[in-house]
Amino acid sequence: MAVLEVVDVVRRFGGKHAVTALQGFSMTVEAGEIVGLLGVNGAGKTTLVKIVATLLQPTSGTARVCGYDVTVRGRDARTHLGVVFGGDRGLYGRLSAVDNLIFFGGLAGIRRGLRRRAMEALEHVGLADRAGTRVETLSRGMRQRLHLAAGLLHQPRLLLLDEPTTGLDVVEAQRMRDHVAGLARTGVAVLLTSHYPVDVDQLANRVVVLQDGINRNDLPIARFRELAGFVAEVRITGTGPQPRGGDGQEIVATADGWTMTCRLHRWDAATLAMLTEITKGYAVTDLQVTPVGLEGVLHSLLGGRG
Amino acid sequence: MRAGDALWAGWRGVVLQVHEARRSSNLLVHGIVQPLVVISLGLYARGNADPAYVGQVIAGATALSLWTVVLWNSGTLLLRDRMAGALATIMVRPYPLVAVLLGRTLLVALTTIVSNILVVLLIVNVRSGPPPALPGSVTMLALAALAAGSAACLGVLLSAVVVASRGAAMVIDTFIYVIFVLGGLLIPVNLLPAWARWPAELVSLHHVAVMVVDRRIEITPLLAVLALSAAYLGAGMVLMGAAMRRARREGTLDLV
Repeated sequence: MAVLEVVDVVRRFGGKHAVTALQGFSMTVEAGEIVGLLGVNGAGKTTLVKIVATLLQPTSGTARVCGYDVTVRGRDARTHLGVVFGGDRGLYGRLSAVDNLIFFGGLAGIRRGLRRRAMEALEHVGLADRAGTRVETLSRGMRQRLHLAAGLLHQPRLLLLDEPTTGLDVVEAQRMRDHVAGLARTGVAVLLTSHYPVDVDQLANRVVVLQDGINRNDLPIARFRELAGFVAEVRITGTGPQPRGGDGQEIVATADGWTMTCRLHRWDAATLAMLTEITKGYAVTDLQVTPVGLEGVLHSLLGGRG
Repeated sequence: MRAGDALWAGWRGVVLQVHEARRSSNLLVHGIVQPLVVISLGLYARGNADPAYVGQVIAGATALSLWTVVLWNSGTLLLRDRMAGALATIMVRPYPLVAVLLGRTLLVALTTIVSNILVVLLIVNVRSGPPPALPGSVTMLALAALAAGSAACLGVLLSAVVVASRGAAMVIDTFIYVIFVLGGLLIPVNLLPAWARWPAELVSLHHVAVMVVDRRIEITPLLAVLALSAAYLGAGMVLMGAAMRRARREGTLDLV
């Protein structure tokens, strides 16, 4: 049985001028799997997360967490659910880090060893030395890690991560990603939404693309990358006479010389030989190879729209 | 919802509020400074007043203090949680929000009552003249417990009204002035015109103040306090349940 099962979920907002955020959306998340949910603003990602988190009811369709319908058996579903909202809201600023965890852990159903487990959770996210610090004085990254600790304290089977690295610097964002990667290895199912493809790129086993409220793509991440149609983009800069170029190679004259761009469909010895051949005899000053990332795939897939 | 779960959630609410109260100036302002000033001014206005009048001032000032704290502190708990994003963090957990809220409002009321008693003890001991006409200590403690319980129920109702309404500030302003003038707390009901006396009957703290002034627990006001408290709590639970269901159905409350 899938830990999360979403079937034909429709969600409309408003009356006269109704907006349909989700229109027949379906997906599953299995134990130990990290599924990245991608889509542009307004695609319906947050609506879906709110429905699974039991904060919003679907207009029709069902979402089940560990077999419990989130609309009919919301309380049972919440027992197995950990939710980490992005940003630095959602905690009691005047309380210490450990007191926040004790409160939210208590409401998640932990009745014994609450303080000990709160301290272990703080240790896990690298905040043990800040246990007694008031949350309002913690940095944004620390608060975000505290959110993660609060979401994990009761050892949920499904973790919803909504924009977990929003506003974090590169070091904190990487630390957050490391924590999440470790979770999946313990069997926790993770549904991750992020504006930053790098989060999904590094963490997800599978990618779901939400477009106009429907499941546009649902593929393992390696297969998803193939959708771009190329594996890397090469940019060669040189001076003096321009090379002639060939199919798929774009050459632009610059003030200092020229720049040639081409997309590689595979990365092997023949490709290297081709690059050597087309630049042979020309004055090359720079060569950059950029592997295709999720951002590129998403861009080509969505064509700049949601 | 099992009773054990509700008790547990209420206890977590009490503990949360203990931590919150340590860093809040609300108790100091409305629970200590306000009754101190109101009682002092009330006594100064009459000079060396008779014991019955002093007892009346003390009962009114402490009831007003409790009402102010309930309105500004308990009444805005859910609103503040929502603004801080903590309401959503509670709602995604399996335990009942209303039990957490009741635990918090109970703690708010209890701390206010205790601070009120300390203020009264201070004033009684430093002023000259005959002691005020107040109930004996056992009766006083029973009335204090009754007032705290009722104030906690009232806090649940106000919190639900404030979070469910679009204009929280208007709700608070309306309540504070109407109850201040017509609630029978500081301003004696017999000073009001006959047609304006009925609102006080709906304020449980007014009935507690009446018993404090009469220096005994009487059956009619006692039943009124119990019935009104149950009505506050019931109405608060119904209203909050409806607000939360509506929030989940229509996406209101802007939870995340």
